[in-house]
Amino acid sequence: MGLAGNRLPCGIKNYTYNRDMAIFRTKLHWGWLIAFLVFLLTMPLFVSPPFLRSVMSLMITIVAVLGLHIIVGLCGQISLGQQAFMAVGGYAAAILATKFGLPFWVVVPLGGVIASMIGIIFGLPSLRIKGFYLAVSTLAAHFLIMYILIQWASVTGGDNGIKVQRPLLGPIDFASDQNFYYIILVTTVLLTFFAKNISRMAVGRAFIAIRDNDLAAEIMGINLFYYKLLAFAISSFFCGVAGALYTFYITRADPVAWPLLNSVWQLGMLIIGGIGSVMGVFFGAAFFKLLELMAAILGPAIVAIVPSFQASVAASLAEILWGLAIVFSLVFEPRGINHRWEITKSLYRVWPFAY
Amino acid sequence: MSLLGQNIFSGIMVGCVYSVVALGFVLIYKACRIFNFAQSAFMLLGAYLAWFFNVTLGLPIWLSLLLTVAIGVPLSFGLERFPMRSMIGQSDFSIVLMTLALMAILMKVVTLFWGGRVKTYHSELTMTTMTMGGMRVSLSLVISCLFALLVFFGLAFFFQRSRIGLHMRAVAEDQVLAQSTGINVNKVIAYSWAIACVVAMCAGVQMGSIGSVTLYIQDVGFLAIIVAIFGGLESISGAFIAGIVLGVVEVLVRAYVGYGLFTVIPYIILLLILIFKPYGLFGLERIERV
Repeated sequence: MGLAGNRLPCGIKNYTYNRDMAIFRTKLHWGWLIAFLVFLLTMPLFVSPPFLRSVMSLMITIVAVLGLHIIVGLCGQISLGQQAFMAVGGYAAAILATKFGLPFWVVVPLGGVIASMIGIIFGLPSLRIKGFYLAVSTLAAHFLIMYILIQWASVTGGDNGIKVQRPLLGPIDFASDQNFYYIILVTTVLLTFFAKNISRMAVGRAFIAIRDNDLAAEIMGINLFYYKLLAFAISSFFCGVAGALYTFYITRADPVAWPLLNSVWQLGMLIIGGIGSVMGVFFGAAFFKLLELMAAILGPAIVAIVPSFQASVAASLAEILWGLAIVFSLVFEPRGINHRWEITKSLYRVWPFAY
Repeated sequence: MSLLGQNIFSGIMVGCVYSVVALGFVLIYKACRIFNFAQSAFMLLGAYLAWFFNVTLGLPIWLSLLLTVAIGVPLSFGLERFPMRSMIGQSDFSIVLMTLALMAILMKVVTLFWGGRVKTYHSELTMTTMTMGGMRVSLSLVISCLFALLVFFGLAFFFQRSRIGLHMRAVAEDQVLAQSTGINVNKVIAYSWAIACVVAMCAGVQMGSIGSVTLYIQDVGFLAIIVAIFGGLESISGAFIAGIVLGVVEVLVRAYVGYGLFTVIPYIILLLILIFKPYGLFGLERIERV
């Protein structure tokens, strides 16, 4: 918890340890939380279907970036293998659901578990290398995993992928986006809570010690072997669940749905939102989504001016904007939107006095 | 000459291109400890720019190459000045992300302007084959190989004899010390970027003329990352040797094991290297202090 996070509004004191450690400390906090949850729960009733789909993909991205937050933001290990781990989760869920006939409620967590096993295997090099070298080794993991997924056609369906069906729960059919939204929402809320609490537990403090200096952490008695692999396992679990949800969201385990660049963009979300905080993950993912929506509006306008640009201008434009956002964020505000948010909050809390 | 000999020979020629791109990584890494993922996008940009001059504007291939280089030099100076200079000394994560973002931007700009379709240069070079010691090899491959040798010996000479090359070696050794002896460190780093960018762009054009101009040229850039790490990030001769080894492995795997398998063999090699000998063949093992 940063310094700004401890600064309380005038007149509010924490008299018990529990109250001091609580995520939501004041009644106003709880009010905001409940209002926000009610807003999310009622969202399908009043937004347009395309917008709802944007929100759903945003939430899936948030789950994946929360995993990245644990491995990169807390534990400091650079990973470019996110998309591959998501693909593993997605394919595992699709294979278990279609070939073994397991229900949706089992295959999504199992997809996460299988992804975390693969994550542990490709996390092994992190015990000897770090920095650029680790980035490159996870890059290798990406290419290897994607190659196997496409070539192992008897199991994964090769280039065609695997078609899956959204689940049923008693009388409720989750085939429609409006209903499937609730599954994604509940998963996102649960995993956010989990991710938030990891950083408040001994495990999270061990991760942060490793991030700040792994040799020093080892001398302090933190078992690097155990904790680095644990970080890879937890992070890949999040990715696997996100991948499984995405597979059911597009109702297909698709070999081309996991490009390497998406891993770069997810790292970008982390840095733009503010690395090392759960709030930052939300800011970053939402910011990227906003840029994407903006590019979708700007794209046709640009094609109208320069007709020689391809029809896919919106997709390229969004990614160019994302890249520029990362560049500017790294140069001018490496601590991200969350840092600005904390400054604004503490300004508001101590107002009208400067201290 | 036997089939095996011919395969090894063409492997060496392919490997030369990898070496040249890997040299760019090594140069930048030596100068300012930045591992430049954008190198692969420079290749792509070079190949497409040359295609634009060669086919869209109808210029001869050598002039297109010169014009591409003429764009590459100011581009790399500019990139060094704006985002990259403020990255020196930042955390590995920031540097990796910054160069990846630059890679993505350049790649998407190429897609925006030229789309993803396969293109070929208008040039006799790509069609012509010549006979060397009983083997038929395409002229563009021979030229690529000669270019790689030229770059390699040119750089070796440059680092041994020229003033700015000596400055580069001094900067690679110790930036602060180099600055205090009166070397303009920023200028030296800018030159490293320019050389790396130009070399990568030329390699991109070579790849385009050996095969065709596609977005897959970038994959060669990723192979060059492997080459650079295999050889050791600090070693120029390491990059050269590792490139040739990888080229020979590529051709042999394609010929005797299976064509498609080659897309993953380099990454398996890379993982093995990183686990067993992380600092490469000729790299310096760094000792870390808390």
